[in-house]
Amino acid sequence: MTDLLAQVLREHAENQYASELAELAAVDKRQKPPSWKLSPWAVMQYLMGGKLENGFEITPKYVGNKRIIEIAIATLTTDRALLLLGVPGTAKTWVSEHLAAAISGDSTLLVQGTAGMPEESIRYGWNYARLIADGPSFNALVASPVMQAMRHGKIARIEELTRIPADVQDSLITILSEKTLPIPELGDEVQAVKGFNVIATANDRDKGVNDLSSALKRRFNTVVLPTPATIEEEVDIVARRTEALGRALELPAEPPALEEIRRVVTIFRELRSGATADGKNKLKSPSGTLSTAEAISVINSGLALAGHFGDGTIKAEDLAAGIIGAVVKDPVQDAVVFREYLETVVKEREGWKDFYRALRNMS
Amino acid sequence: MSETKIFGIRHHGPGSAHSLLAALDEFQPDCILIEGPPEGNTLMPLVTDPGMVPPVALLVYAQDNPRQACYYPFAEFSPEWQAMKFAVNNGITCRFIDLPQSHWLALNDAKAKKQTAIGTIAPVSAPDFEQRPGDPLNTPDPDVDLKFEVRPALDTIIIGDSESNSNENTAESDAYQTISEEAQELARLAKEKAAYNEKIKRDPIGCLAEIAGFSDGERWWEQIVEQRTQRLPAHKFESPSTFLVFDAIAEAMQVLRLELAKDEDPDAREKTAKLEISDDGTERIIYDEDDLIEPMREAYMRQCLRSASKEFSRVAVVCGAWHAPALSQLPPAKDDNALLKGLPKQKVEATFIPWTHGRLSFSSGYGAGVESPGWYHHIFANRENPVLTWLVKVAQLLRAEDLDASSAQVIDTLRLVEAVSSMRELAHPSLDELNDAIITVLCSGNNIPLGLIRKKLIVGETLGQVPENTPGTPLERDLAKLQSKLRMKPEATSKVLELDLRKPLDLNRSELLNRLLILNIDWAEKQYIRGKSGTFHENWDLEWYPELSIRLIEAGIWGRTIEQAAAAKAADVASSNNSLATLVDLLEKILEANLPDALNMVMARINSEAAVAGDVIELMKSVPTLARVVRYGNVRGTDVEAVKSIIDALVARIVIGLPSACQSLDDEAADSMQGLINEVNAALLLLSRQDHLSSYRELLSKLANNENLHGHVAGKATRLLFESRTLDDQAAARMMQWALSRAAEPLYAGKWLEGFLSGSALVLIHDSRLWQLLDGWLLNLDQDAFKELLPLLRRTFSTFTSPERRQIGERVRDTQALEGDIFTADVEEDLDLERIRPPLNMVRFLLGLPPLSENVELALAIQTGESS
Repeated sequence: MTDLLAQVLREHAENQYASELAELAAVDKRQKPPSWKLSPWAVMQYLMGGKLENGFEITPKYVGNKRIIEIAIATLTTDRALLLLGVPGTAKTWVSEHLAAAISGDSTLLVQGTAGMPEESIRYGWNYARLIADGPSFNALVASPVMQAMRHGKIARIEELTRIPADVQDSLITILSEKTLPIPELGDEVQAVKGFNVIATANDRDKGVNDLSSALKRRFNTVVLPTPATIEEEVDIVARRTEALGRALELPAEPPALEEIRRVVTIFRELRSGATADGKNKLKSPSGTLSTAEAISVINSGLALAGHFGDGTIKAEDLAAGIIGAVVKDPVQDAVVFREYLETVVKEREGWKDFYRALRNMS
Repeated sequence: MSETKIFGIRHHGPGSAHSLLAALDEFQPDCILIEGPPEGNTLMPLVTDPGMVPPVALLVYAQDNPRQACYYPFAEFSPEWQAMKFAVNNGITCRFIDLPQSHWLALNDAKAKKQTAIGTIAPVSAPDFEQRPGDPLNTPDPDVDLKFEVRPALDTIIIGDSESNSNENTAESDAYQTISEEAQELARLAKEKAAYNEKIKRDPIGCLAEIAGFSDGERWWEQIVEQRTQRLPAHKFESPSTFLVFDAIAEAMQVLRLELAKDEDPDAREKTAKLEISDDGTERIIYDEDDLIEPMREAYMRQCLRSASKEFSRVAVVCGAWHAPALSQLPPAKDDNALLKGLPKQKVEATFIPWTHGRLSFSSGYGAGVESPGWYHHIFANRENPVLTWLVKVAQLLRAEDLDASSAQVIDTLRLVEAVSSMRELAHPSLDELNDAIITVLCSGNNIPLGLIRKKLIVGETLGQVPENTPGTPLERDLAKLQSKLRMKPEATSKVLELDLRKPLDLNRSELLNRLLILNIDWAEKQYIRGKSGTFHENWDLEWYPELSIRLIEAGIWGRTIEQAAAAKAADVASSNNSLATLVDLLEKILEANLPDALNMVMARINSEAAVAGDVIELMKSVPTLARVVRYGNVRGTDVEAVKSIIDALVARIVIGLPSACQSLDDEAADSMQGLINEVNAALLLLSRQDHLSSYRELLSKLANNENLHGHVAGKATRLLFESRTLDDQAAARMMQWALSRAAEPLYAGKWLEGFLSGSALVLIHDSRLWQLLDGWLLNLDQDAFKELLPLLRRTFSTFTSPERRQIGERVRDTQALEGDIFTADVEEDLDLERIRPPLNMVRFLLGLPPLSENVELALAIQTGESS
């Protein structure tokens, strides 16, 4: 069994952190909402990490503002559903998985939103062999993860809500407001058990998304997950992730110096926020998201370049192509923005000469 | 023996105000003493005047120098205000007992003079507006931001005369530059610690709340103080006494004071003091009145309390919680007398002026100000159910902004507020929980809608009013003083004033009128003058009407002198405006009004707006004004370096953005674009910075060689290149031929020629280079081509005036007659040296030089003569 488990590439949160959840449940004396495995306080501890009274250390799952997570958990105790919004790479899915694991002990009731998704994925489908053999009945029904969550009072997760076609999205309205799923074929319905709720994630930067209708929007409380607040935080995240990924991908290069990461993160942060780090100058922002995840991939591709084609240490030239690729998404507008940034900020900056030259040669 | 009760309150705390009112009601005093300037005692009856609407501020200012002043702001929910109202309504004696401002301002003045006398301090530079937190909602007052001193207890601002406080900063930073890094680190730590201690003194309850994990002192008061008193067993009194709150607070403050006293090691202060002495190189003793002023204030308060105790039987003292322990035990009067002996004195005046909630708020630069006066006002006015009424108010404001906010959403918000507060284990939600919930539910996670209503809601846009019989404001006095000094009587009939700006008096007049215009007091209207004297002549149409007096009072919130108020107002306009053109306009106004204080701020704003401005045209429009500032700003003491760097950035952006901005222009846009290109070129020539010129010329040649552009633009670019001699005659001729060749569209060719020659008939007549270029091209045309191009030429030349055309015609005739070019400006070629000798000798005679004798010298002399 252990051998089999070891082969799983990625475990579910509730399995990976089973011991933490068990410890929390043991010390948790606070009032629990119906069907919740833990109290809101304990869920909070699980996500933000900390030391329990008995000395057990809970690892932090989310690094960032505690108040955001508080609002998210508090939302799930009300009858409104939770919508986690943010640019790609802000740990939306991660937070949603851990919330579901901590609250229901089950993070697998998942619907992945896609552009061509049919209504069945949210409501129910039919086992046609059964349907033809026995006629319509509950036995012939194939329940969607949402329906299962309703039946058992659990948290259902919907990923990339805004990628789902608008008409399919709207089938959620009845589920979220009436807390019931009618099955007209059987003249019956499935009513949600207490504890049922939905966590949806959506990214607000994608082009061509299906914006939520006002009716549906009203059923969700929206919590925006921000990009890292300080440069130190972001450099830290990038450095740790790059190192972990570099190991996993077995890149031959040395992990980059913190200074190199800091420079990339600085460029990303400055362009993203539209101001220089010292706050003295405003800048134009390019159309891309420039998320932390992209910074990580820039460093990684730089590492790959340095490892396979260079001398193994990362240099400005190795990063330049990646940076430009991440920043210049619109070949006309973004190119102007980036050149302005290059000429007015990078050029003047102390000790950035190699960066300036590398970036200028590339663009 | 009289009974005395000390009520230590939290300034601007609605909770304190409620507790205080209840306590006063129970105590029934016959005398109320309030921490505040005794100069305001005579104004006390105005408090209940129907014309008095808080927020107002009690303003105490030096009679002969209104720039030295001190504000005591009051809102409806200020405990002091409620105490005053209570006293006046019940006919109880009420007095302010803080150290009189006459001493306080005098002390400050003395300190400022002492520092100036030492001479280690540079004259105060223009206020650095950048120090202000970049909150778009603030209403800046340069003086408040920089030269204010927050009185540790009441959040009063002392505005020193120009030198006083900012000098300290200058001196400090000077000192820091030379001391070693370790010392710097030490000094920094000491400073941080001092800052924290200062914070404790200023808002001790806020600090207690912070330690207890509350985001706001009011919630702490509500939760810890108010709730607990209700729950207290009534063992001491028959009903739970309202005094208990204040006794507990005084006790807490006592402990806090003791701890702080332990902390403030006198030796440490000695050390830092010595450090600065050795460094300055002068014997500057850091004898800081600030350290003494606290004991002096408390001594004065005790003196007042002693005399009141003799007169009255039940005395209530309302003071900042911090001072409560100092007043509860009275030491022998002798020490206090000694401390207060021989204080300097200054004549001061006091008055009430209208204030705004915005200025109470943190963003205005009050150290211990109120972050959310609107919320405080709300919880003071709606004690029963503050949360729900607040949410309804939010929903209504959102609807007023055309945003969705249904009642169902309000209910959902309320539920979330409750859920979050229970998660955070709060009995009552605070503004934080409300804001979080509102953003999550009502605004769909987007905090922009909340930003829209923030000013109305959280800050509160309330503007106070003062009764008509309030004594005059300093701004009125200042204007009256200036009017008599500049001999400009306000008259109700219209009168034209002609000013010659070369005369100092007239220049001052013009500055005053311009400043008033910035303050929206349009006493005078500027008339546009044409003609040769336009640059130093101004005509103003003066007419005074009564509404202007009201505007003058309103303008009082910006400052105490016209200059200061105008600068503050300009800075505010600058911070709330995002359009580059408006900002550059404002810059010109500020230059005309001579407000160096506001200049740097506007400059910084222009810099940041230029960075985000997507419109190259807007950038280009701002270049000429900025170039003028650089070229001529020195006279007014402008920091030209800052503008230079703005121009650097602007030019870089223009050079990058202009090619795409010139694409697909229609006739009208192209016409204005070629004008702009020309103006920027002229501005850059004015600056004559080689790097700018060369990059601009590079850009121009890009434009000139791009055949897809509108003819106007390309023509203009070629012309400018030709003028700057980047293109030599042949290259220019070739480009002209290309642009006007048969392959080119006739319409394009026509536009090109128009752009090339636009507005330059006179240049054509007098510049032989241009003349020859055009002439040569024309002569080289064969007959057919000439016929084809004739309509175009005619069209271009029709834009010139008829005298110009006549002159051009005459020139053509003369040129043909002489078979040569008599207009040539190239001196070294065909000079008849003998003919030129007499006039040249005349010139030399006039300059006091000996006449020329040798022919050889002549050519040389012409060249040097030209340059000298």
